[in-house]
Amino acid sequence: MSRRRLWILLTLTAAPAAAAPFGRVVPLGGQVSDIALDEARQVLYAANFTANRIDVVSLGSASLQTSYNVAAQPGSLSLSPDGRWLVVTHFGNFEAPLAARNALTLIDLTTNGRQTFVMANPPLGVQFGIDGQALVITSKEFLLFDPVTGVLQLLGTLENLVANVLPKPIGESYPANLVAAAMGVSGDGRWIYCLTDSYRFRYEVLPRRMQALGYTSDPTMGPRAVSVNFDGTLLATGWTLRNRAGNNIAQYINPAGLLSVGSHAFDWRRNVIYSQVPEGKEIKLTALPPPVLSVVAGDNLELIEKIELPENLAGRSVMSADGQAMYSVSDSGVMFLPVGRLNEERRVTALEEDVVFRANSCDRKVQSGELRIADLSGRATAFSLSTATPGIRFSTTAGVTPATVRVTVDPNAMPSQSGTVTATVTIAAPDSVRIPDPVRLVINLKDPDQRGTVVNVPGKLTDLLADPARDRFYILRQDKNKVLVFDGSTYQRIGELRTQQTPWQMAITMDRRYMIVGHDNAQAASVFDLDTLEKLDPIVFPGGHYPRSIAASGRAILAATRVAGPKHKIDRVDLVARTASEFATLGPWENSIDDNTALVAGANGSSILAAQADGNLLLYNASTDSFTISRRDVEKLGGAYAASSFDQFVVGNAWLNSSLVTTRRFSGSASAGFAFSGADALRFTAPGVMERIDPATGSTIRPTRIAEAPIEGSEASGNVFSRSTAILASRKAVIALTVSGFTVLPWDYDASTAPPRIDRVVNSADGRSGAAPGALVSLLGSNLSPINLATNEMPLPTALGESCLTVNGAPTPMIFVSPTQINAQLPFTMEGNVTMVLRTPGGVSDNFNLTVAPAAPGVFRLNVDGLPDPTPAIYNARNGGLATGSNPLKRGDSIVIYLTGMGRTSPAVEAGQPAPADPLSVVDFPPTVSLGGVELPLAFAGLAPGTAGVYQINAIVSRSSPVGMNVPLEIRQGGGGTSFSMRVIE
Amino acid sequence: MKHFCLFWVFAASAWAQRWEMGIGAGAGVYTSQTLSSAGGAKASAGLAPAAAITAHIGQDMYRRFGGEVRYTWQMSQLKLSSGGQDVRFGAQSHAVEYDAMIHFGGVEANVRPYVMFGGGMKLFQGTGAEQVVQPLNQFAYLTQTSEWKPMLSAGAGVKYRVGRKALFRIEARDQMTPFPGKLIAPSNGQAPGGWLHDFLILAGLSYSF
Repeated sequence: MSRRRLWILLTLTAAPAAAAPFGRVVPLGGQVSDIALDEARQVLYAANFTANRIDVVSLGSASLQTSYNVAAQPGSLSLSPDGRWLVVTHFGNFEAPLAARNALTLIDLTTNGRQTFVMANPPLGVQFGIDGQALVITSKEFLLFDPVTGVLQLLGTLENLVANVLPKPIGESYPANLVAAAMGVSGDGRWIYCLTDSYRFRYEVLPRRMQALGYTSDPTMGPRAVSVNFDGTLLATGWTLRNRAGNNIAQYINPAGLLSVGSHAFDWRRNVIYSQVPEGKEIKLTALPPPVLSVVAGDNLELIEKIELPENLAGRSVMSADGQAMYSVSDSGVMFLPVGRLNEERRVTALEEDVVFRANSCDRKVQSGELRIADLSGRATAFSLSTATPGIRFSTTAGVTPATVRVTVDPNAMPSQSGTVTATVTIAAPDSVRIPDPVRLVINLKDPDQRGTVVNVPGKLTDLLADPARDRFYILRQDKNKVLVFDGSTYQRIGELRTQQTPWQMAITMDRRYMIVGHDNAQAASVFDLDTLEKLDPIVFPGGHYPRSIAASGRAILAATRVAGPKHKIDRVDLVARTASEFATLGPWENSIDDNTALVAGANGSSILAAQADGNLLLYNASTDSFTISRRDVEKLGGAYAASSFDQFVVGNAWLNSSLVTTRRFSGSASAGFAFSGADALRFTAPGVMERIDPATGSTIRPTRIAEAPIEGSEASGNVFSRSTAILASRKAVIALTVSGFTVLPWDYDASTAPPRIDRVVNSADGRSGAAPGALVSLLGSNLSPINLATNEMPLPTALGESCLTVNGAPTPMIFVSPTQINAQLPFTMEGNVTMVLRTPGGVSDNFNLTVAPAAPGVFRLNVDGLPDPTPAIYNARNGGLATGSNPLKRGDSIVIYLTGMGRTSPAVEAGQPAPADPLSVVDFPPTVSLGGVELPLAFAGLAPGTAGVYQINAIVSRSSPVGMNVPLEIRQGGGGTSFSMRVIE
Repeated sequence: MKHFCLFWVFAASAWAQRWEMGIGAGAGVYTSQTLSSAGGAKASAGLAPAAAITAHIGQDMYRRFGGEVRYTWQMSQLKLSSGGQDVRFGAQSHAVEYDAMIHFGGVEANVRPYVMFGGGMKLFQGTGAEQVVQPLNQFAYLTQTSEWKPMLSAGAGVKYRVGRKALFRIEARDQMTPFPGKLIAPSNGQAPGGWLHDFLILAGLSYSF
């Protein structure tokens, strides 16, 4: 056993089984109800609700420094902005015959003097504002307490707020459950917010303006904590994120709603929220999951990372003024979390979300890929890998970061032998505070008759929409709150749009300028300008309305909303005012819909179909601006939904006419995607068959197997409807949302295709004939690929688009495919006469014989805007620019020449693999470079690190090189060579 | 007698203010050259009008005839124009010359017009940042390099006595050099012909002693 392996083994053995918790608990021997941070004195005050004292905890030593004995049940406390006064409220709402002990204690921290005032009503919370006055909220009134005079000024009264009474049953003994109120103040001290069981309050400090809003929530609004950003524009209350107006702009997913478990704190410097909001409405205090701190985005609660905690948080959290530390009420007392140093903690993660394996008709053998494991702190941290899927092996199952683990997949051992199999790799890192996300392995086992090019997109993808006016399409990535924007020609991602929490469905307005995105966990819809891809002001929905599905007709924009109430509604959107309001009725029908409703508008904007999971159908008619049809012909609906420009609709396997009457029903598997484009229609079904539909007869035409199965709706995913097919506006291609991302099909994917023909093979760099081992070459011919596609995957795939190439029978890495050209990298191991064969859906090419020389250097030529001719890829290190006539070489300059075809290297690199940076891979046959006949000294000649098949020569322009407008630069290597003219100046 | 006369001449010279040293500033306007692209289009190439700073030291060897050594620095820009498009590139020049001067008045005169002619060398330096793609590159490349050129100079001016030993000078001169073809390098590789004129207006103060 090597010393390194032994060390890893010892490390893993010694480490605890769970991930390392982050944060330090300070037990206080009681149950803490509130905390206040006094940075001037370097202490934290903790209201020890059950021990009737204020515990003073040293920030420096993280230990109990002293305690102030106070009246019973200190429920809330707050420190004045000048640091002199500590105000404590006592929640002693004992019911008769016990005497109520509601009170307020003022502590002068400069003299340690204390005064206690009896209060008539139970105080729920206290919070100082920037004006030095403490806002006290009781069950009956708002009071303003002046600590200097001791005057309690009545600001207003309140009805219908019922405070808990004491004593409570033992099981509900947590302070947050008893007091059931929380307050928070903005960083600038100008805004105070309060959350109780039935009211939310907003207090504007300087004008002394109070606003109260009654609310209901299910589950209860826990954790009972309020955290506010610096200027009071955003606040986390319980499990919601709200703006100043109180609109729910995002909420935590599936919250448990427990008042006494969890917390959050706004870190406005980093625009994140550190939070613990347990999931699961049915969860019980007796069966809580391990405590986890989630770092989420401050604007939409997107999960950034999860950190293990030593115990549950239990109430208020506060941030230090410099944002370096977070202090929280926790189960044992208080917890210190040095969040500013989180980046220095061990945080193990995989650098890839997905690792993709593609077996193809050229290469059915065992596939391998790389998985990189890193500690984001840069340290060496032990980790281990595991998977439950058979046929997957790792080069090592345990190691130390940073590590690159080779994952091999045996297609023959997979549960399914066609289509895509996904597997999960679990990463365990006992010393890491970050809980590593699992990695998805995507194994595509494509049969020769399966059409389409699969493009991997990690994450939970839930909707697909083609832009009707631009050569783009959009995919909703629900788990990251993003709309991914893809180019319709290159299929590359060109942008992403940040939505609110849990985006559900996309819609484009009839003027084709705006995209509206509905959400399942925000009472707002995001709006984006599709010309600029900028986020605009959201559409705010009525309280409790979550706009899941949205559709835009020529007259109205409708939203099917999940309502936190007895009935779910259809709302009408006012895009100009950025508001929405519910329809009083849906024509003659009650405005009550299934929460699982999908809206879709025809391309002509004449109507909007509402398909509901309970089998109901509704049709909104834009001409009459009302709902004109309602039908229920089946017990339930689901699957694909689509609307044509000719008042034809599809829901699941039913084809509906303009009266929503089913005119025909597709047989076979359920539709997962359906797309109309003019008079054409396509249907995509599980387990992955695309078929054209004759609109006149409804008959299916040329069903064709697709490389992957579609993403389908399901009750388990929460959405029974799916939109997995889109036809690009250019009608060049069809996009299908599939298991590992999306699959691109050429528009004529089902047409018979001719076999490929290779006419010529040239050096990819300069287009000249000649090839060498490891060189990038271009195959020129016809029918080489059904589509244009380039990849930036590394290692390079051996199948791209629907084409795969072999050289002497060995699969060959490819970079680019198109009908007339393929760029690929020759194997390093082959020299002399080789035979190339290309396989496409059209068949197999004739053999193409090529002679591979030991070296055939060719300098890459670049097409640069503003220059008439392609320019050699020679860079001037003096200014980093390409050497051109206007950026000439000077004597003494260092230059970098990029080329291909320089043959084998040491150490050897496998074709398709990125060249290493350490050690550098140096060519076996050193070249000579001369400028104007003067040989240049070379600093390096070898593979450019991180690239495949690209070499670089680093040289220095000799002081004796001739100057002139056209000085010949000549590169010679192993009998081959290339030359061109350069401008050289003194 | 002959010796006496010579003594008298030298005595007069010694009595006259024989040396002059001064500084000045002004501006210069360059002429341009016409360059052609491969397609036959025309462009104007030269240097943009530029501020100038100068220093000189001179001697009146005779009552009306003298000479001076002059250094002139100009902060300018290389300039290429065609079809409404204008490309500029930082540049400067250093000129050192010797000029013979003929005055229309004696050294003691309060107003003393003069003409001059001479020659020297001028160093052109391109100081701008080179671009991978320079606009109008079909005509020429504006280049960050240095180039010495021989220079002829001619001009006229006038000196005003503003104090016992102080003179105010204002003059116009033309510094003529061959076209700096390394700084403004025609992209067709041909060497540009012709002269480049730099018409300078300079004003300054001199101290005579």
